[in-house]
Amino acid sequence: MKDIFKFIPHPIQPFSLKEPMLPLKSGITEDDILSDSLEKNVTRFKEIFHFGLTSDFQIKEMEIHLNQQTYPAAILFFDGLTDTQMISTTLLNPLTKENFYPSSSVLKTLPSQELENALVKHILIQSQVKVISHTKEIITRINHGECALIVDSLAHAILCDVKKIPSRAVNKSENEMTIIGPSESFIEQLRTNTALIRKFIKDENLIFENLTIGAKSKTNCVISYLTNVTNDSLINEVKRRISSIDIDFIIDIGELAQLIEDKTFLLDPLILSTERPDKVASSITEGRVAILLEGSPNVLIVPAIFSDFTHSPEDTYLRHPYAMLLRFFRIPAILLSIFLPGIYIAITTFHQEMIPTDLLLAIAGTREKVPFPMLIELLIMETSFEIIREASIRTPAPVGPTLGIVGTLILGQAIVSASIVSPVLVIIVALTGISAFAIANFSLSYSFRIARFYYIFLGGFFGFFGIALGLFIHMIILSNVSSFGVPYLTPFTPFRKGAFKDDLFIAPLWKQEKRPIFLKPKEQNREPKITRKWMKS
Amino acid sequence: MKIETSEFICTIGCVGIIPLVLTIPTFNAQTYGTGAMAHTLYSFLMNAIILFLLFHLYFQFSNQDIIDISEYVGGSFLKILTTVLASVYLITSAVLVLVEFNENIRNILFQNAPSDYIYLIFLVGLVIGVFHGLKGVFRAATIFAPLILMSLIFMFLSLYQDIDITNFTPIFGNDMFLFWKDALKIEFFEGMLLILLLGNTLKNPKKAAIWSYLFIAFIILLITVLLYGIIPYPSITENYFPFFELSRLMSFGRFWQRVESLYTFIWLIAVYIYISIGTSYTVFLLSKVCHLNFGYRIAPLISLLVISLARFFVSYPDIIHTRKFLTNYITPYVALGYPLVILLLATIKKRSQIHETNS
Repeated sequence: MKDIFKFIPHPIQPFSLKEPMLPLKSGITEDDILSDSLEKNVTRFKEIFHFGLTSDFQIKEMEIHLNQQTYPAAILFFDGLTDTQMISTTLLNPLTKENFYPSSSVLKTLPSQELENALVKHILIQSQVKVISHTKEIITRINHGECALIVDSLAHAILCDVKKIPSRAVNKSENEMTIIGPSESFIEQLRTNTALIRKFIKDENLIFENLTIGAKSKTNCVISYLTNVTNDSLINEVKRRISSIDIDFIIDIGELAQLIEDKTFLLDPLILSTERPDKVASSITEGRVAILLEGSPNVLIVPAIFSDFTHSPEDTYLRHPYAMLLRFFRIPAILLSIFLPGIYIAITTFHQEMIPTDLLLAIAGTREKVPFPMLIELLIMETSFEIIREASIRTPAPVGPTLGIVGTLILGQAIVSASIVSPVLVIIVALTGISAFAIANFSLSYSFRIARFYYIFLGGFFGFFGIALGLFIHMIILSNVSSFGVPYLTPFTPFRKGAFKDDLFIAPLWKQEKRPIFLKPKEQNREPKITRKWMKS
Repeated sequence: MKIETSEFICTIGCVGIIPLVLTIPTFNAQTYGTGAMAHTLYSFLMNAIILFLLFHLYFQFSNQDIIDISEYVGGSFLKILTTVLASVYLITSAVLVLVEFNENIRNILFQNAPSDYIYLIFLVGLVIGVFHGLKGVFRAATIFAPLILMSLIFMFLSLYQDIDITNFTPIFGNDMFLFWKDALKIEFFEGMLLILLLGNTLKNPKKAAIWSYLFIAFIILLITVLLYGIIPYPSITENYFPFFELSRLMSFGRFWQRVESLYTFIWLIAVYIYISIGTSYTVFLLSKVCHLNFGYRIAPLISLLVISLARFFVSYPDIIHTRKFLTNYITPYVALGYPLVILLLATIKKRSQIHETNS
C-alpha cells in the first residue's frame, strides 16, 4: 500500500540514431526500357516513386476508347508540379471519350505502332509530346513536372508537358536598386529568367545552352552567351567546370558559384552575382557568359574582375557627368570602407604627429574618460555595428525602423554618454559603415568588412608599418588571382589601355566603342567609330 | 607567362627609390661634397652609355637570360658560377636593405622594440611575397608605382621653393679627380640589371630598358635636386636617412604637416617589393638550375635565410660599412663587369660560329 505513493521513475530509453537502412537500389540504367505490360510498368513506377509513402505522386488508371476497343492505361504525375486543369482538358477528356483512327490493319486491336501514332498525332492535342522508352529519362521528366501516359501493349511512355511550377511574379529588384533604368528582377523560374534576358537581346545569336547539375536533384542549369561575340575557350571552360561537378543536390546558384570559382579562400568574390536582367544582358553583349539555375532568382556572370563589382548598371543609364560623379565618389567610399578605422587607430596610436595640434587635443579630450585602449574601443564599436547590420537584415519589416532607432540613436547616444567609446570613434565607424553601403555589390562589401578587421589589427599593433604589410599582402594576393583565366585586377595590373576611361571612370556612351579587351571577344568593336551619325549628316 | 613592359617599369621604379631613401645620397655627399648633384647628372650619362653597351650586347641573345648565355660560353661550370654569383648578390642586396630599414624603422617607430620583432613582420611579408612568385610581385608593383610617383611629385611640389641653387656649387665638389673617376657606380640603376636575369620572360625588353631608365632618372632627378638643394653639404653627410628628414620639412598650410609617417609607409611598400624581388628571383634561379618542379616550396626557406643573415648585423656602423663596400667594390664588378665579360665572350663565340658556318 505504501508503494502506491512511492514515485517510481519509468526507465528512459535513450534515443540514438541507428545505422541507416540503405534503400534498395533500383538498378535502373540508361538502357533500361519499359515493358509492354501496363501492370508491370505501373508496379515498377509505384516502387520507384514510393507510391503510398509520398502523398503528391499520383497514378490515375483509366481506359482509352479507340475504334470501339478499350485499352487499359495510366497517367503518372506529381500533383502540384503539374496543371491538373490542363491534364483534364488535354489528356483525360480526349483519351476517355470514344475516338476513331483510320487504320490499315485488319485486326480489331491496333498494332502498337499504329496505337502510338493514333495517340500522339490524333488524340493528344498537346504541343509538347514526346515518346520515350528509357525508364531513367521518364523518371527525370516526371520529376520535372511532366505527365507520363503508359498504355498496355506499348513499350513506350508518352510524356506530355503539363508543368505548372509554383512561382512568384516578376517583381522590382530589391537588392540592387537604381533610380533610373529597368527595375525588374529575376525570379525562381528558369524559363521566365531566360525570357527576361531575351527581352533585352533580341538576337538569333543569343544562346541558352542546357546543362544538368546534381546526380539526384537533376537541376537544370542554363549558360547564356552570344555565339558571335563570346570567346569559345571561355564558353568551353564554363561548360567544363559545370559539367564536371559531381554532387547529389544543388539548391541555389550561390552553391554553384562556390563550386566553380577559382579560389575558395580568397576574400574577394570572383564571380558576379546579380538579380538584374539588364545587367546580365549588358554583360552578355560585352562577351561574358551568364549562368542561370532553376529555382534561383540570381544569375552568375563570368569572368568578373575587381572593377565590375564597383560598377552599377545605372552608370550607363545616367548622363555622362552624373555617372562620372558617381564613379568618382565610389573610389573614396571603397578606400574609406576598408582603411578608415585601421588608419585612424594607426595615426592615433603611433603617428600622432600627423594630426594637427588642435584636433589632437580635441580627440584626446573626448577620450579622457574612456577606460579602454583604442583597439578595444574600435572593436566594440565595429562589432556592435556589424551586429546591428546583421539584425536589421533578419528583422521583420514592421520592426525594422524600431531597430534602427534603438541600434543607432539610443545605443549610439548611450555608449558615448557612458564613456565606453569616444564620440570621434562613433563618427569614424559611422562614416565607414555608410561608405560600405556605397559599394554597388554586396559580396564585395562582405570582403571589405573582413579586410577592415585585418587592417584594424595591423594598424593597432604596428601602425603604418602594419598597414603597409597588409596592403602589400592584399595586393600581391589579388594580383595573382584570376577569374576564368582573366587576371582579377586587370586592366590596372596587367595594365591595359583604357583602364581609366572604362573602369576607373566611364567614357561617354558614344565613346565606348570597344568591348573589354581582356575578354578577347570574337568581335572587338561594339559600335562604329562614329556612333552618332546625325552629327555628320 | 610574360612580364609586361608596364609591370617591369613600375617594379624598377619601386626598386629604384630604395637607394635614394637609404644611405646612397649621404655616401655621394661624403665623397663628392657639393659636387654630389653634378655627379648624379654625370652618372646618368655614364650609366646610360654603360647600360646601352651592355644591353646592346645582350639583345643579340634576348631569348636567353644571363644564366643561359653563361652556359653557352662556358658550359655547366660558368652556368653554376653565374647562378651562385647572382643568387649571392641578390640575397646580399636584400639583406642589406632589410637591415638598414630595420634599424631606421626601429629608430622612427619602435624605439623600445627588439629588432627581431620588426624582422618578424618583414618575414611575414617576405614569405607571402616570395610564395606568390615573381609575377605576383611585378603585378603588385604596378599598383604601387603610381602611388610612389605621386608621393614624390607631391613632395617636390611641397618643397621646391626651399631649393637653394648655391648648395650645388662648387659643382665639382671636393675633388675633381674623384668626380670623374667613379663612372662605373651604378647604384641608382642597379634594378635595370634585372633585364639580364629575366631574359625571355619580358614581353618587350628593349622598350622596358628605355622606359625604365627614363622613369628612374626622372625619380632620381626629382629627389636629388630636393636633397642636395635643401639640405646643405656638411649637414647631409651626417644624416643616414636624409629622405626622412626631407619629408619632415613638408608643409601645406596648417593641416598638412608632419606627414613623414605617410612616406615611411610608402618606403616600406617599396622595401617589401625590393626584398621580395631579390628573394623570389633567387628561388626562381635555384628552381631553374636544380630542376625543381615546385620551387615555391623552398620560398619560406630562402626567406628565412635572408632574415637569418640580416640578424648577423648588430651595429649600424657595420651596416653602413658593408653597404659602402658593396656599392664601391662589389656592384661594379659583379653586377656590371661580370655580365659584360660574359656577353663579350658570348658575342665573340657567336660571331666565330657564324664565320665558321659561312666559310
